[in-house]
Amino acid sequence: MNFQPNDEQRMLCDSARRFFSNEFPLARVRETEAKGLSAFLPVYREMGRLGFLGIGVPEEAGGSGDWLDLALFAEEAGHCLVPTLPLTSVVLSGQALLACGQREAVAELASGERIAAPAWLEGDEADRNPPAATRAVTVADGTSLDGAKRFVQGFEVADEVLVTAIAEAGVCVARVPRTAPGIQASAERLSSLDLAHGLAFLGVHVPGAAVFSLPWSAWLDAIDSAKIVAAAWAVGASRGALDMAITYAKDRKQFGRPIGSFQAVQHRLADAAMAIEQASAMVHYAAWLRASHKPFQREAAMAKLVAGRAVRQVTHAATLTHGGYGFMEEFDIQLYFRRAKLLDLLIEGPAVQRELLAEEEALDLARVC
Amino acid sequence: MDFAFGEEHRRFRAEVREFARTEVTPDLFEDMERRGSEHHPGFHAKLAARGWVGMQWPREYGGRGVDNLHVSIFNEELEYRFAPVSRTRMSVVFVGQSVIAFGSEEQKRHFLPRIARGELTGAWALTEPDAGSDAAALRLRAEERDGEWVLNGEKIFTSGAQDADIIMVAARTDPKAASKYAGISLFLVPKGSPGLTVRPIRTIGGWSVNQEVFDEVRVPQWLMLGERNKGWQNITRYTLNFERAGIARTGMLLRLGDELGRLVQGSSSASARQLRHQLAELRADIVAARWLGYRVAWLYDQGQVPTAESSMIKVLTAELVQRIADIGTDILGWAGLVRGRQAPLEGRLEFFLRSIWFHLVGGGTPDIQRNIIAQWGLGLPREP
Repeated sequence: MNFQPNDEQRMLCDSARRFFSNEFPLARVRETEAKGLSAFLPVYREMGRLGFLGIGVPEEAGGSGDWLDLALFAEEAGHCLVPTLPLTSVVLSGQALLACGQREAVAELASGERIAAPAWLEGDEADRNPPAATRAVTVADGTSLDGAKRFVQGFEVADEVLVTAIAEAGVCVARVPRTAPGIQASAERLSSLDLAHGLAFLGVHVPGAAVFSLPWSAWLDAIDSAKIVAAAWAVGASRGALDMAITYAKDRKQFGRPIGSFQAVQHRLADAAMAIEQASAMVHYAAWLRASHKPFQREAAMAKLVAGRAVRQVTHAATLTHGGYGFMEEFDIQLYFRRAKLLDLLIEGPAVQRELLAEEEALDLARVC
Repeated sequence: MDFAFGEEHRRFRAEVREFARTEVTPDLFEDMERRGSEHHPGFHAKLAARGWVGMQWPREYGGRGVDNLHVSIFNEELEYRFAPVSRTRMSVVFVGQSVIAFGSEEQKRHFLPRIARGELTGAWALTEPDAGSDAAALRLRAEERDGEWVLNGEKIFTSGAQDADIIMVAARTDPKAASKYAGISLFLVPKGSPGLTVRPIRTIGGWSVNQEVFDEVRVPQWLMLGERNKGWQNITRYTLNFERAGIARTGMLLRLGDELGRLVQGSSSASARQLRHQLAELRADIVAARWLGYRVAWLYDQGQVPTAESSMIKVLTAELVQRIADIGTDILGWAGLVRGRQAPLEGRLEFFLRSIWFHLVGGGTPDIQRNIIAQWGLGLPREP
């Protein structure tokens, strides 16, 4: 047992931290909010060139590093509020495409040169049900897609959409060019100012070679893997927000003393720190299980639940610490707060995790691997 | 980072698990109940005979030189069966570890092997009637007279003092010191010392704690523990951290998390249906606390004494016990209020509902822990 990151992990985290602080300071977060995700693309492509996007991707698909490395990297990205495009385009899409045997496609995504937007949500939030509102029908020269998806992330910059659908033979995944005829997209702007798209598929024709039948459990495996990374992102964002609140609490004086010397402030931030350490311990363990090819589904759900709660609690505490400045646009802490709920919902929200854990039949919390 | 248990740790876990399965029997609890004590001397002796008491100490002091992770595993497996280990922990972690950290060679050679053999148990007396959270305001006086120390004053809320053999006592040795934090020293006081009276105070949580009155209690020089007048530094640097990290009861949490799961699965009550999601959150928090607990144990193995993390794990686990008792008794409805072994889960949830205060207050209130986390961990300024 060793809680210390190894040399490679430390180097990875150091280089990621340096890269983001140079290439993606919070000013760039604001720029991305104003101009859209395309403003982030130069940084994203560079992440691909430097190999950051290939972490957790198998070597034969052009990647390196395991799921724990990926979680540690995600914490660094979350700390700097890097858009979650890598999470949807590489982590989730990549895992799903690997399950479809599409290594070359994964290598393209991991290079950052190509972007995929997974389209799998059909309701207001993620559930574990196979697609029902999107149907794939075999036609003479391929497949025809009809139906609708909601809250597709990264669509505006995507080259292709990865659509889950129900076919006669079961669930399939279709790789559809973003500009394919028959896709109707409507954008909705989120609290974070990110765009999420609702997509309607009106007889979208997909060549047979771009449609892959996939056991639904394989898609859920990809989801379960990706949500560990989403949880790590949330831990990183929590740390970023807490750091900012601590700096402010030491600096800001009221009643003739730093507000950080007041117990009311100290206790709120102590609670925030505890929430982070707890979430971080859970995320690292879940990521390690996934990296070590051990059963990880339960711990992934726990990690997502605990980290999602942490990021909401911590960003709230951090914003409150800033008083009136906390919700002024020109102050940076609100950037964290406006993303907390998104990170909680990302990949799968807390309601699904609670249900998964409540349904768990084996009651053996003491289990160790 | 690698969270795999090594072969040695696996074997040890299996050994303790088997021991707990066969040795933690119902009559153990009946016996403790009859005597109104949280301590079971016979069980403690069996732990000592196995070489598990003080196993983390060097061999020359009667230990086995194993790492702190062994101790975590030991506690986890025994607490999973609610075994009585609090005195073991108090003797080894609060008292013994303090002797290791800042005691003299003579004290180490005298006390540690005896604790390890199960011949001696210890208690730790810091709190006084007027010095609770502000522990450094303690007034119990130790004066040097005729080459001895003479102690006068009072301690209160001391767990285990009723039948421990030595009491580790914090006393004021220099009342003229510039600050209340200076001029404090620690002593290892034999329980049978003339002038020391111990009076039990009943708690609502089953076991009693104690009040001790020191009336001209004479303590020989060699039983001063650590440097004279440097007691507060040693307490805050070592003892309180050992105590806080040591009382994290993750094994019990794991067990209760599973027991509540079984209660909910076996119940069709409205409470059970409504609480299943709260329980899911709770179970996730329990596993997260377990891994944070391992991290704290690991930090100690690296030679660190992590102050903020020790406070964190103490608060987190205590508040988890509280949530368990709350949710558990909610699931049970009226049956959750029934006392005694005929009640669901042998009355343990009802018991924790009352005894949660040991977990919350013992080792310092959650408020004090949050001060420590904020000031030592986050670097926020102290109150002026």
